[in-house]
Formats: sequence, structure tokens, C-alpha cells
Amino acid sequence: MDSKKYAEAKKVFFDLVDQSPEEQVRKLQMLELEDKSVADEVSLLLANHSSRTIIGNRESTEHASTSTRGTYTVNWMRFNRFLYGGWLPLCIAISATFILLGIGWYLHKRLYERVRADYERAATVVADQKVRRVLQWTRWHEQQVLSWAARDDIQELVARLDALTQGITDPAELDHALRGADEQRKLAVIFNQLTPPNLSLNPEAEIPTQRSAPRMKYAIWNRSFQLIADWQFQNTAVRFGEPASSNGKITVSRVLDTNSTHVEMPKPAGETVSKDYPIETNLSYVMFFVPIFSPGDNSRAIGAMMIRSDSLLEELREILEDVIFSESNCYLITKEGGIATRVRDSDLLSSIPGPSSNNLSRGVPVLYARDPGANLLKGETPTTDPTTWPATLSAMGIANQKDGQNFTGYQDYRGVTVVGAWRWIEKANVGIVMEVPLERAYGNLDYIDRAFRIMSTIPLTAALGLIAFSLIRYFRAYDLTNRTVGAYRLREKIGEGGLGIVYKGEHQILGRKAAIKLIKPSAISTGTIRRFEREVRLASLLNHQNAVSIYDFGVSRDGLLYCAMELVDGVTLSQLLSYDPNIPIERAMHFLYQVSSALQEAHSLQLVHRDIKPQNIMICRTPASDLVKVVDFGLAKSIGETISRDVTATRAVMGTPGFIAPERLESPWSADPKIDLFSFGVLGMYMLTAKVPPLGVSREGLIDMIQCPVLKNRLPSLPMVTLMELLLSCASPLPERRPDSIRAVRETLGTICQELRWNGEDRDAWWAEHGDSLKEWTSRGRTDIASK
Amino acid sequence: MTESRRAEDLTTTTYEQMKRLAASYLQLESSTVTLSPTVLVHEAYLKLSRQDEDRYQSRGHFLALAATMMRRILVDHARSRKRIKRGGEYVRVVFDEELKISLSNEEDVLAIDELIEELHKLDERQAKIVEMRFFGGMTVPEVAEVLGLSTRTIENEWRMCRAWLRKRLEG
Repeated sequence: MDSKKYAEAKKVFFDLVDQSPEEQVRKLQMLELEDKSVADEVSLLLANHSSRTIIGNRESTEHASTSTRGTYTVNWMRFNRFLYGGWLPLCIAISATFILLGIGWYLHKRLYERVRADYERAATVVADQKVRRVLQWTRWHEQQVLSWAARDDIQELVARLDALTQGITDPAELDHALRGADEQRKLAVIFNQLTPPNLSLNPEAEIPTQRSAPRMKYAIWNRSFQLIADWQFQNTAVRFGEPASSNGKITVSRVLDTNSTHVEMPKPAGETVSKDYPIETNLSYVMFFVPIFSPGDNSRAIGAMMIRSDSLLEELREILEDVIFSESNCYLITKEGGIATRVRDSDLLSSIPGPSSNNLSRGVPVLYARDPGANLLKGETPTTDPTTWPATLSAMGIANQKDGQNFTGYQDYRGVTVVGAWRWIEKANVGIVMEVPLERAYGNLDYIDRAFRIMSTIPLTAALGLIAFSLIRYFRAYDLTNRTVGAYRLREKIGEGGLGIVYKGEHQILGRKAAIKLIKPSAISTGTIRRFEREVRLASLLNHQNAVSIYDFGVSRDGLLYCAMELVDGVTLSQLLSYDPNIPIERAMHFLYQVSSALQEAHSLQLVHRDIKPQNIMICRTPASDLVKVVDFGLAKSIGETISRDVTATRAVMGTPGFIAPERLESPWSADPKIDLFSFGVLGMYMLTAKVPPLGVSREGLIDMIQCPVLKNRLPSLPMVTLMELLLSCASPLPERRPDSIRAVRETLGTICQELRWNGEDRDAWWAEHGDSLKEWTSRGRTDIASK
Repeated sequence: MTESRRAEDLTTTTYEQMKRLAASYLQLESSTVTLSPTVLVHEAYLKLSRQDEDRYQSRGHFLALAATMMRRILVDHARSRKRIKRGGEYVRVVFDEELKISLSNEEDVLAIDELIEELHKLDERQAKIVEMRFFGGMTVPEVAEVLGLSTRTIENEWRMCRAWLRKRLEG
């Protein structure tokens, strides 16, 4: 076919298109003789043109508005599905929660680490500084004491006292001589005038004046380790001339031999008071030992001097107790683990039998840094024997003369979990320990922890809420009672089909009762809503007493397509027939006639029902007994079409087997009214026989199927014969053998009905007799179905 | 400026705008949704005519231009998608009675495009009419106005090419 031939064909087509089929055939036959290819082309074109109007001109003008509306509906539905049905918002919420939690967790971790690291650094630095400060302070006082020892007058007096010891051998005599010596008194006067430098951290504070006792306490030994001078020279308990104990000798000889100074840091109370040093109290002291040189020879030490004072200890304590956290402990500790300076809760501990009772030395308890294994502060009682308690981590470090720190937590002498740092001071032969309760050290982290925990609950709660919401929606999706659909509020469910659920509903403003058919979103593809809309609009034009009228149609908030229809109070024909299979022929005629009336009205509006079956025929008791209502006009087609396009091809034909006209198998969406005629014929037979007849059933076959004896007897009567003929022709598999239109069928039925009358009295009598039991029967049937 | 010059000029300037508009629609639509080119073209008309009112002689004139553009856009789009998705097996077109092509169904677009091409060889005027009706969503009077022919003629032509298309699609 080229353009020239096409132009020819076009000319012929234009000629023929508006002519009658017979004329077309005749002219084409003529043309065939001239040019067969053109004739074939035109005949094909004409065939395609006339078979059905697929693209109508009339639609074009209103197309834009319809399609816009359709698009709107589609978008609205999609939006609703997204909001209410979809899992997408849920997924978004959950992932957002996880992202937030992740960010929170990361920030929290970083912050936590940072705060911890800062604290640890600070604690280490403070510990080192503390050591430095102690050493600095010590050096200061050493220098001071050295400068005193270098004084000429002191050197002179000591030399003279030493000389006294040379001649006297009797201890009592020596003691007396030294105690009564003039030099002894002069020394006391000098030392009373000496004031130690105020190294208090708080220089403004007034140093407590101790007028009654000399501020500087001293003791001097000569090279034979004999005590030759002491600040308590009037106290007879002090024995002059007596050699020092072995411990004292070691210290003094070291000072004398090396001509160097020596600092004796405080010892645990019990150890301090020994006979080496003049007896005083339970106080521990810082003691400075310096050599005293001979007045003439500055290289030869003639004695060793010890200096101590209450204020020195005060100053040392100030240095130690200057701490970051109020609950922290800073103390000196000996190699043996004895705590040498003031610590927290020592009173409490000494009152508890345990930590110190077994370590008595001269009646004074010594506190050892040992882990009791229980938090004594909380009133817990240690279960093990105090002698078996292990040394605390810090005490062990000091025992090994090592520096160290622990920030993960260990038990201190009270059993409290602490973090701390410890340093060994070689020069002073003592360890310094700084400890802070773990809770206090990282107490601020607890707030951070809590803040993050609270903050993370917000997205978590939101996500959980969303999940709960979605789940509730998911499980409630099929229970729509009391939901609002369009202007209607749904009441109870009255039925369920493959496409949707039917609810009893009520117009919210008008209060009008309606049956609301909801079509499951899964049953419709959005693309065909427009078609549905048009069909329903057409169906709503149908206003006939035997057809259920359509009130409203739309898309609900939940994305459900709904259709509000007249609420019919009745039973379906299939229910009625299963309740009473042998209904009188007159009654069947009465029903059939009404169905045909509805169909006639519909067909006059070009509306084909396409799914006439007993389930779609309702029999009502009110407003009139045995009033027939045909339901689902328009719905069957549009929805069926949608379904078949969405679902597989095997399910392409919607409808009830047996009631579908055979030609629909070939063209499923044919809108020929004759398909309704077929269904109508089958429906009639079904009413007579209570069975679905086979396709193309013969007259004999139909008679065989009739079970009811009453009806069988009446078969030969004229109206029955006419009826059988009519039904058989309607149910013919070939469309052309069926009656031309429903109008003809209705007329025939009308005449039959004249013969077989089903009077008003009959109807009322039947309903009066069976109404209640039928109702019960149907409701039971429904629950039976529902329970399956 | 002659008519054809003017039309050509307009085509080039408007094409890009149309393409953007169409792209946004095509992106928006998921595969299950069909959208009529009519809506698209009408919307384009509203937008573009507001921009420069005096450039288009008439609505019909614009729609004729738009139809050509829409065809190009949709075919390009369909080709690119089809290439990406799979090889070219032939799928039968759903000949929709609402005068719309499913935009997401690239086979539809390509098949119609091919047929118009074929028809163009046989009868230029009919090809033009099909293009305007399908891709431009124009009514018969609008087509008549643009082509300067009577409505009656266009109706006849349309009936024939409709039958021809049907024959080709279903036969």
C-alpha cells in the first residue's frame, strides 16, 4: 500500500462510511472487481470503524475537566495511602530515630571520653604539683633551719654543752649538769625568739599564738648520740646525756657523717612517739635534722639538731588538703602502708573494731591503707579478719616506691571506690596519695549521661508511637466501624465480597441511612478511578423503584473508594432460595418482572448491569412486600475491568460462572445489553429449578431439572410454556437468538404475570409466616460464613 | 516573518520549556499511573501563554506546536527508558478509548509513534491529525482551525485514520 493507493482508499472510505452496511457491501463488491487491494483495505477500515466507537468526538470537549479531576483523585488517593497506609513514613521515622540515636551516642561517647581524659590529666598534674609543692616547702624550711644552725651563738652554746659531756661519765650527774647548765637556758631563750617563716597558703590568717609553749621545738645530740639540749629541759621525763635509740642513731649519724640535712616526714601516730624523741603527745610531726658545726671549724659537725613545730605540720596539712573535690583525700603514706597524715573518716574508722585495733604501738592506733572489702562508710561490716586485708592499690604502689594512677576505680582504706594518683617522694622517704571517690570524680558525667538518656527517649518514643499507630491501623484496617467515609459514618458491617465490604452507614448531617460499599484499595488501580467515577455517575442517573439508587461516590480519607447506595432492608434472592427452594411460580414471576423493569430502565440509559445473579437481587419486605431491588448497577463493569487488568489474565472475566454470557469470554468488556438478557434467562431458570442450568440447556433438560412436584404438574399450562420458551431464548448461547431487547421480554413477562398473579395478600401472608424465621436464618447463615 | 518561520522559532524556544515540564510530570508519575498528554499540554499552554501572551496566534496554534513537541518528548523518554529496561520485544498497545496514552508505557508511545510515521508516508494530513489528537489532546474543531480545514473534513479524516490505527493495532 502506497500513498496513491491510500488516497484512493480514502476516497472510497469517505464515500462509504456514512452509508448502510448493505450498500457498503454492494459497493465494495463492485470495487473488488476493479482493485482488490483497495477494496480489502476499505472493508477492513470499515469493519474497524463500525465495530465499536472507541474514540468519540463528543468526549473531547469535556475531556480536560474529567481528566483533571481524575488526576486530582489519583493524587489524593496516593497521598492518603502514603499517610495512612504506607510503611514509608514508618520507615522514615525509624531510620530518623536511629540516625538521631547514632548522633547522640557518638556525641555522648566523645564528650564522655573528653571529660574523662581531661579529669585524668588534671588529676595527674595535680598529683605531680603536690609532690613539687611538698618538696619546695620542705626545702624552704631546711634552708631556714640550716641558717639557724649556722648562728654563732647557737654553735657556741652547743659546743660548750658538748664539752660538758666530755668530763662526766655518771649518767645522773651528766643529766643534772646538762639540765642545769646556763647554756641550756640560753638556747631556750634564743629558740623562743626564732620564728619560723609563715609558709601558710593563707598568709593573711593569723597564726595561733602559743605563748605558753615555745613555737620551735628542738633537740640536739652530740657525736656520741647523747641528747645534750632539748626544748623541754625542765621536764624530768627527758633524760639528758642518754644515747639515742638505734633508729635515732641512724638518723643522727647520717646527718653527722654526711653533713647534710634530713627531713623526717610525719609517721603514723604510733610510730612517731618513740623514745628517740622527747615525749609529747599523739601528734605526728615534720622534723628537720641539720648538722651543727663547730664554732671554729665549719666542716666539722659537733652535733645534730632536730627542729619541729605545730605550725609546720599545719602548713603541710594545708598543702595536702588543698584539693579539687571536697570529698577527696590527700595524705602521706609510709612504705609500710601506714597513713601518716590526717584523712577523712579516720574517727569513724577508729571506732570500728578492725582497721586499726591490731596495730597498736604505744597505745596509739595506726591506720593502715588496706581494703576492708566492704564499704565501711555505708555501714557495711567487713567479713574478713583485718590482718588479712590486702593493701589498697595506692599503698601497694607506694610500697614498691613507684608512681602511678588508676582512673577505673579501686577500693580505698574505707572500702569506698575511688580513683586516684600516687607518687613516691624519695627524698622524704614517703608516698603521697590523692584519692577522689569515683562517683564524685565523674559525677558530672552522670548528668551528661542522664541528659542523653532523656534526649534519646524522645525520638524513641516518637518511633514507638508511630510503630504502634501503624500496627493499630494495620490490624484495624478491616474494621471500619464508626469511621467516617465522605459524609457518611459507618455503622455495622452488613456484607463482604471479593471487591469490598458493605457497611451500613448514616449521613452525618441528613441522618439518612445508606449502604456504603467500600472497595479495597488493593482492588483498584489508580489509573481507572476515572472510569469508575464515570460509570457510577451514569448509574446514579438510574432512578427506578426496582434498582438500588446511588447517592454518593468518592474517595475516603483512608484512600478507600466508596459508593453510598440506598440501604435495602431485605434478603438476597440467593438467600431466599436457599431458605425455600420451591417458591411458587407466581412469586418467581413477580420477581422476574420487577428485575426486567429495572433492566429495561437501565438499558434505556445505555447502562448494562453485566452481573445479574441471585446475589445481586434483593427482596425487600418494606416498603412493600416482595419488592425487588437490583443492586450494583455500574459497579460490576468498572470494577471488574479494573480487577482483570490488574490481576492475571486468567481471572479476566468477572462474574458468577453460569450467569455469564458466553460471548463475554471472548470480549470481556463488551457492553452489549444482550449479556444481561442471558443472565436474566439463567436467573429465571434458577428460580424455577434452584440450580444453575448448563450452558445451552435444552427444553427437556430444563424440565428434567425441575424438582418441585407442584411446578412439574403445571408445566403443560400455557403460561408455563411461554415462560420456558422465553427463558430458553434469553439464555441462548448465541446472542442473535436472544430476544432483541429487554423491552420485549418484559412485555411477554407482563402477559404471563396476568395469568400467574402473586397478590398483595399472598405476599403479606408469606412474609407474616416466614419473615422472622427467614431473618433468623439469614443472620445465622451470615455468622456461619463469618466464622469460617 | 512567514508562518513557517514563526512556527519554527516558537518550536525551538518553547521546546525546552515543554521538555522540562514534561520531565517533571514523567518523574512524578509512577509506573501504575497514566496521565493524559492532554492534561500536560493544556497545563503547558496555561503556563507558557501566561509568560508571553502575544507570541502565539491562538490556542489551536499553540496546541499544534505542543503536539509535535509532546510527541518528541514522549518518544525520547520512551526510547531511553525502553533501552534501559530491556530489549525491544513487541507488546500490543492498549488502545484507550479516553484518547490517552499511558505515558509510562513506553511501548504504547513508541508504537503510536511508529504508526504515525507510517501513516505520514501514506497521508501527511492524517498523520498530522493523529499527532494533534493523541499527543496534543486537541478537539476536532481545534484541529480544523489549525489546519485551516472544515470540521466536517477533519471528522472524516479522523474517522478513517482511527479505523486505520485500529486495524494496525488490533488486526
